[in-house]
Amino acid sequence: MRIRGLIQNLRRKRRPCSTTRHGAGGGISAPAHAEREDGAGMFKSIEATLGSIIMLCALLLFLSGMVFRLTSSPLSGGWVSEVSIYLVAWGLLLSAAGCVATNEHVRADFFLQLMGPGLRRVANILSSLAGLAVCSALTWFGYQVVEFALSWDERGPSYLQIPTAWFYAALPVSMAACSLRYLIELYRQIRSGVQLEE
Amino acid sequence: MTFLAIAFAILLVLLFLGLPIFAALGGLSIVLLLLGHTPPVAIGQVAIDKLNAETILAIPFFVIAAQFMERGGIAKSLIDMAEAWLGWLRGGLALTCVGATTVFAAVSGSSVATALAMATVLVPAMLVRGYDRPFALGVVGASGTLGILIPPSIILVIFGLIAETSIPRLFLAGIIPGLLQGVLFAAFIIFYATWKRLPRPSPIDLRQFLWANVRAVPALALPIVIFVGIYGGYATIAEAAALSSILSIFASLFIYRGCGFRDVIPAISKATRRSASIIMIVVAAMLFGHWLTETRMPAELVESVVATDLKAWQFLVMMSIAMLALGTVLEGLAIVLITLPLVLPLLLQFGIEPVHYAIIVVINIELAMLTPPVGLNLFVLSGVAKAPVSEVIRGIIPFLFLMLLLLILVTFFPMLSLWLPDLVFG
Repeated sequence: MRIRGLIQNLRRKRRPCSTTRHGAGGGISAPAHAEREDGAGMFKSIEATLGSIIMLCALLLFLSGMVFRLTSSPLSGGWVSEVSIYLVAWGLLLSAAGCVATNEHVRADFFLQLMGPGLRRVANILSSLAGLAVCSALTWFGYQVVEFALSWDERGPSYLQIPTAWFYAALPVSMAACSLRYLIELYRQIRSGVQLEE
Repeated sequence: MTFLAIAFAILLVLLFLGLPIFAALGGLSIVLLLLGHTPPVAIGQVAIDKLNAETILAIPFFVIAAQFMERGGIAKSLIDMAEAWLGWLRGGLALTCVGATTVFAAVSGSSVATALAMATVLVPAMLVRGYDRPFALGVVGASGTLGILIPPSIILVIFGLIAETSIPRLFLAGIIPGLLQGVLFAAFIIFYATWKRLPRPSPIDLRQFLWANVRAVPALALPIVIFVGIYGGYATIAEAAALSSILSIFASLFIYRGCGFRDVIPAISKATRRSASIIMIVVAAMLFGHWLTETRMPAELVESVVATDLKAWQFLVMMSIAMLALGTVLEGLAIVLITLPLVLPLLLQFGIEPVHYAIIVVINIELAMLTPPVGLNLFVLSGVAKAPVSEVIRGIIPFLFLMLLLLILVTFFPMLSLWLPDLVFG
């Protein structure tokens, strides 16, 4: 091809597929400046690593379920979908804590960029406080949902009869992890301000 | 109603202060629900319940697929094929871009992934051929938005989830407007290329032509698998998404070799984090929607709108203007999730098909992605081409007008979006 040479040059220079600056998200992305190096982002956050492994397991299990169904295997049934949903919920919510660590939660930062450094710092602290408050509230509410599900011994619809509390537990556990991440972030922001003043 | 206006004003202030969207929307909703004496356990239940649905799996799986397609070599094979067919025309590379993005959009549900995958290869190639940079950037940026209109589309999955509308119908509804957008862009490119006398390369030989097509077969098989899976009744939306992600991983690793095994977990991690940031906003939107329902606000809104004697088309125009204004400062997904719980009951009142409204919303989001100051595709292109954003905007402007024309056509001719789903599903 006429542009093959150019493409080959690009291929040689291409970074591995994990180091994209902007990922896929249906037109949704965190601000470009907020994104950190992908591999670093991954290993910076144990939650995101766990989340991605769980997600891969869910993907493989869900596909197996499709194969079981199409081949009328005795293994097919609602349990595959149920377990996959539980795994995906855990994977996503745990990764939400990873997003706090890598500053990837979507925000409208246009006005923030217009502010001076002092005001921006105040706005960032406010953001972390709001994130902390929301995640702490969801931890508490999620805990109550789990307690409620355990007290009623709620179980899933498949023959595995998985307690729904296992699914609901994803909310308090991951929101607690998010809260912890926001606390760390808050400490870092306040500390950097103190160091500046010193 | 005044209370709702105050709540919206507070929400906008919080968003403009740079709070994460999930924290601003979720925090405000939690406060409002607690003020309305909703028990904490019910709030927790609303937050988590929407995740207990098979459709939700489609979001991370489509994002994983897009992540691998973006960098795994799939885009390049499609570009090669499109260039083999269209490259010999005047302005052939720009037409190649529109052709390749149209096909790429049928496997990737993301606009940013589409723009990035195309820009990395096509912008440098167009510059080498003597295209002026703003035009090259405009073509790639505008074509990239096709990623969320031509199915599968992550935005349409989220719309279907919130509005409880059939996702296969939504997917079909995006096809004709998407193709129309491609045709409008192609017509403008041909006009521009003739006017500016862009270079007209000689056609390639048959062997190269065949090789480009053969190499693109696995990439072309992806949308076929997705569509046959969904519309042939073999797979649900979530299963089609899982299939597309596993096939794109396979193609990236073994066929195009754009990725190695050690890239798999980091790429999935990146996609999962991206999906998590979407899901957190969905959770916040569910809380907001629950508050709206509890306060009977949508019913009051319907009553007050009925009193104004507004026509359906006037309502759609009004919503488009509001979304375009919000789109200049907010992310597309936030616009959908904040406005949808309020707008849904109004659609019923005006007799507007949610499927038709969904496509109008997506075109508005496309426009939002190209309008400063927060238009995401502008920054993607600026980053890839190392060009000032102002130059990207200059190149995008003609395409913005074409997209406005598309928006008007889709708004006033609902059959453009409804004909195909009605034909297939009745």
